[in-house]
Amino acid sequence: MKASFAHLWAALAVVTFSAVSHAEEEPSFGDKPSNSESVELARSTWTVYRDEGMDAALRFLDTDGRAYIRKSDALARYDFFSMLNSLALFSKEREDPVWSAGVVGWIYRYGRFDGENYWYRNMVSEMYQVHVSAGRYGAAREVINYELTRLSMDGRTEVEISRFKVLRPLMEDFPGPMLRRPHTEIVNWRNMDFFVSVAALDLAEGKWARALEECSVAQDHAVGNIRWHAERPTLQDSEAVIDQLTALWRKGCDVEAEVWDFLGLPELELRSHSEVAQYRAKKGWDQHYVLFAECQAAHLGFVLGNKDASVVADLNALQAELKGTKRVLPDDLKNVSLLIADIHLLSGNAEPGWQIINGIRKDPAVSANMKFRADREWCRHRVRTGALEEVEPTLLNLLETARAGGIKREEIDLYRIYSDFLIASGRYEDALRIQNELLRLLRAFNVYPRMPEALYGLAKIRALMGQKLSADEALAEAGEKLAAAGIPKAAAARIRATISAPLPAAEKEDEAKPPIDLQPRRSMMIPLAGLPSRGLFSLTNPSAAYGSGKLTLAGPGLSARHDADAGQLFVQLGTTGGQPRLVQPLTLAPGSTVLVDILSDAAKSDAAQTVEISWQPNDGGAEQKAVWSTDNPEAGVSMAVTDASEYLDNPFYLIPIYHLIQYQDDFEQAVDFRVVASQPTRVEMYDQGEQLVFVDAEGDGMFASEGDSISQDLNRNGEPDLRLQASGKERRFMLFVRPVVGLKDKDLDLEIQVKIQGKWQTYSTDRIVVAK
Amino acid sequence: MKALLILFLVSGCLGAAGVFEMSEKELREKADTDPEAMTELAWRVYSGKITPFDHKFIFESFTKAAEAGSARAETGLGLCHKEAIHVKPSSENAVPHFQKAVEMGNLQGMVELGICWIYGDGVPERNPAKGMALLKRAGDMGHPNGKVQYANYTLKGLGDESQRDASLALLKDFADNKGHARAAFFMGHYYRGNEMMRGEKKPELARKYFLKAAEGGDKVAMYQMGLDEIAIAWKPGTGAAKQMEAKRKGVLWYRKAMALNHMEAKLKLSKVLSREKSLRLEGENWYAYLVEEADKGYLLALKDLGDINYHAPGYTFRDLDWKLAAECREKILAMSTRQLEDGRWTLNDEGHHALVNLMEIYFEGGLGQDRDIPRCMELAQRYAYMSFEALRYAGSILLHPEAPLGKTREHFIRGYACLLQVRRLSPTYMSEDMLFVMRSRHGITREEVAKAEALLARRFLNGLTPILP
Repeated sequence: MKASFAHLWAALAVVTFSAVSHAEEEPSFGDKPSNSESVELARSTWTVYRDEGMDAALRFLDTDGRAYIRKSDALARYDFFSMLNSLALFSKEREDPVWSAGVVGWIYRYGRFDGENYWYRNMVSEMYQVHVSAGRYGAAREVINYELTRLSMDGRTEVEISRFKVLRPLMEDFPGPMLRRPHTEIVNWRNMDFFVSVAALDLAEGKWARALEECSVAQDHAVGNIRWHAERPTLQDSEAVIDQLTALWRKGCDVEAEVWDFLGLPELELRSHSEVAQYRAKKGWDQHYVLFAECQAAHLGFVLGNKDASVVADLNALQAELKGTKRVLPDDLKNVSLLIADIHLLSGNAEPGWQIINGIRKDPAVSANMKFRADREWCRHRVRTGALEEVEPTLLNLLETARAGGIKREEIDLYRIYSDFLIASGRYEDALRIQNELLRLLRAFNVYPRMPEALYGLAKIRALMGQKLSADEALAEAGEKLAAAGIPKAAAARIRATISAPLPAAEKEDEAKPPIDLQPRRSMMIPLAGLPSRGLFSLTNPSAAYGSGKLTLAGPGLSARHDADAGQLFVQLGTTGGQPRLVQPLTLAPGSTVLVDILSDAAKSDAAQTVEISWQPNDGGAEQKAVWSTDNPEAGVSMAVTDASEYLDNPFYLIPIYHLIQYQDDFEQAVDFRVVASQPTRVEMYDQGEQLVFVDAEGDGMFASEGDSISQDLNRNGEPDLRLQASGKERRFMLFVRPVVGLKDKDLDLEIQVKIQGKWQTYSTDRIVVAK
Repeated sequence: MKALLILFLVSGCLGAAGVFEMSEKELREKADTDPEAMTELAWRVYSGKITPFDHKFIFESFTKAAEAGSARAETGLGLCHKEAIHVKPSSENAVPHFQKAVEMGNLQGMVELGICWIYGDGVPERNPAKGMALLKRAGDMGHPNGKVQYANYTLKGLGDESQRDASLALLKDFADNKGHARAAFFMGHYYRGNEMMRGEKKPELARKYFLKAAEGGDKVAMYQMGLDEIAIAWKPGTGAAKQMEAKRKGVLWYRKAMALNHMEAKLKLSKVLSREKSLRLEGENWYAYLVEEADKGYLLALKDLGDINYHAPGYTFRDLDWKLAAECREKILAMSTRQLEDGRWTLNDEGHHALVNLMEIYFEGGLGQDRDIPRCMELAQRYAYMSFEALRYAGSILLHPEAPLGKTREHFIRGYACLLQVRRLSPTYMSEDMLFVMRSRHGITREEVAKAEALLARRFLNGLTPILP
């Protein structure tokens, strides 16, 4: 079927092109007939693919394609690329993802490495999309950053949003993101299209404020230029340019709507969709986007209580209209079906709702993306209605899929559903662990509008566990966060209503709680000459109850200062009048961590030292011990990851692995870091401000595979990095690791590697020991 | 001797005088036997009194008549060379004909030669005083163009300052009372507020005089009218109907000027028509206009042809040809560069514009032009001492992720030195962030930055020392 359609297309193309072809003696510009040889060659690539597969098609392009390009003039080259592009992205063949991704990749690589600038630029957003669709966010970041650098280097185009002029807050009712303007003119609207891709990737990496600001720049550019062209309707290209700019503006609205969804602000999401929905394109190109936005707006109207269940009739009509548009994809229609199902289920019309969701879940032809969404909706509604059978394996599967897909922010919704599931199942300890993980993610991405509800969830779990005091504390914090959030009134009222619901009564008061955990168990530090020795240990209370005990440290000349508000115990060695043994009583709130920060002055760091640490809980639980030791300072080295530690695996929470980088040179630089694990392990690295740096799904130190993402690549070379600021000599970072199949008998080694002048070098090795 | 020269001049004028009264038909009948008739016929075609503008006819007629001894034809032949009528444009080739015309007593030739001296066109060196003397002499001998041009340049500060008012009065008189189109054109400029003339800003009067000049047959004024109308069309806030009306008028004026062989008008017309389909005459090929002028080697036409093939507003990228754009830029570069005594190469503004675009095309490649990093580097090397864009390309090549010309530490240090110099020359052009990115990406150490700085201190980017290691 595909083949016959393809042949028909080619035949039509040739007929059309030959019909307009005529001999011209005079030089001419524009409207030239298409080169049939170029079209045929591109079509042949599809035939090779269909008969022999993608590898053969790529070989064909590398041989015949390149030979043709070399001998051809500008127009023939263009037509060859154009036809390939069309076959990959616009014609029926685009529905084959292997073909589409393969051809996009080939054009992109040819453009970038052989120098076909136009097609390279054209393919950047597409290549980005190919990687994103495959969950290769690290590779997507590399594509975006290469282009960002290229544009920055041209001296005329400014693309780093943080360097733009700040005009005013972007929105009156949502402080934070700012309206910015580039200092220089961004002359090419294609750069602005790329800007929206940058915004989408930033959002995927959780950098939603940047995403909003980038979208606003693209949208402003679009609106300004639409106006300019609208005032000059007689220009040859005005109509086409207005269409392109409208598409740009619409793409900006789409990303913007996704931001509001991520932040849990449906009121603002509705606003974004409604803006798009108002625009009814004249031609078919954008029509399906507009209709889809209208569907989303209708659904949100129901969710927010502005519309009743009769909106389903509108959605059915819109879906029928959507079906008639030429650019619609099967997934678009199914997405609308899911919106309809949601309304059915929320309005008590269960049967048709489940029918739709189950129909999509069981459809073997459905895309992985769609299956994911349908499963998520299924879990959400099952948990909501208390039908918990089979939910957990489905949820865990979804969580794995989300992690493999590399979209960290997807995990947030799943944690929320999972936590609700665990509460409904009466597994409060597990619910607590998941809720804490949810809160950690919300903090990592600064999703503050969602914090009040997540804290309320935490309060609920604690209340169910009979921890009234800590539940009230969490509830109070939820209220404080809401007051400080500065979100639009309507959203604030909705959230206030949620967190004002009375907390449930205790159901399990005597459940055994996981003990407070001291980590790492051993840590070794070799400072740089002239810099102090430092060690960082953590005491974590993963339970819902307060825990207390005594922390004892034994070492030379110890003195300590406890900052309860910051959750830190500062310990100094070798102080005058210091004690050889120090006992610090500590009480840890539920879910909290106290960091034990040990410091030995540079002057006293020139000899090996040891500090023994022990934690004795007051409730008579087992004592935990740890040792911190230092060795003689390292001379002649400008930078080092100065510590290596041994951790004891703990199933109750993700152990943070802290590291310290010391550097002598006060020369500001971004240094590439990676972690290579001894067995497949998901590694997440966070900067000292707890901002995500990277996710390496396999822990192989490569970032181009599925599930990988790079959130910080300051030197734009496709590798994650940390900024070593000129003002400091030290920088901390933190790792979270999760072995892909869980630790069994074999300990896990983690090599911290740094790229120095193009070569990776191991700077430190951590070990996570299997708990016996 | 002076008396003899005057006698020649007067006889020259008198000899041609009879033909002025003849009809076109009479002129055509006499042209084969009477060089002055042939010359007059060619002049009438040249000035648009007989249409169409026939390049070949004008050139061949002036050539034949000049060979037969017509002083006016010598002047006409000079103009053919100056204005590329059937020959490549060349002021150098025009001047000997003007010179000969003067020697033969032709006053228009004297005016043309005077203007050449004023601008330094086709003469060994610019000499405004010599030029003004020629204009004055032509005027003193009663040639209206001599009087008008002398007054014009006096107003522009080249003549006797005390004669400013008299010059203005003369121009006004010629424009208002004697129907002198060129004088009206100069008055237009005066009221446009021309800075050299220390003119007044009276837009209505300016427009009135430009219009008068254009209607009087002055092709430069026609071109100016075209420019003014198009400017109205592009003025922000102009309604669609008014825009279109202005464009239509502008195009009409451009066409009139083009009919008199005004090259810039032809190029402007081409540009407007390239975007406004509705203003094209049936079968009119705006692109052919551009190619015709570029083929003559006109720098402006080469620039426009290069521009449109590099980026064409209103067209798709499919229509572009970067190879052709690069060829045009290379020609402009060759016309705009010269080697200094110390071996370095220098460029004028046009050349620099071409250079920047050319480096981009070679650096990026595409749309028919293969990437050519070695040529890009060659250009960057040559002009890096005077152009921060050239420096930027040199830096970009040396620090490129694919390292097309080498990947040693020395490449990175030198590349960084180039970018550092760009930053020093133009902080907005090369941000500190980009230097940070490049340093970090290539692991450039403090010591290596110091080496880059030392290279700059030793004036390594001097246009002579090789940038590549």
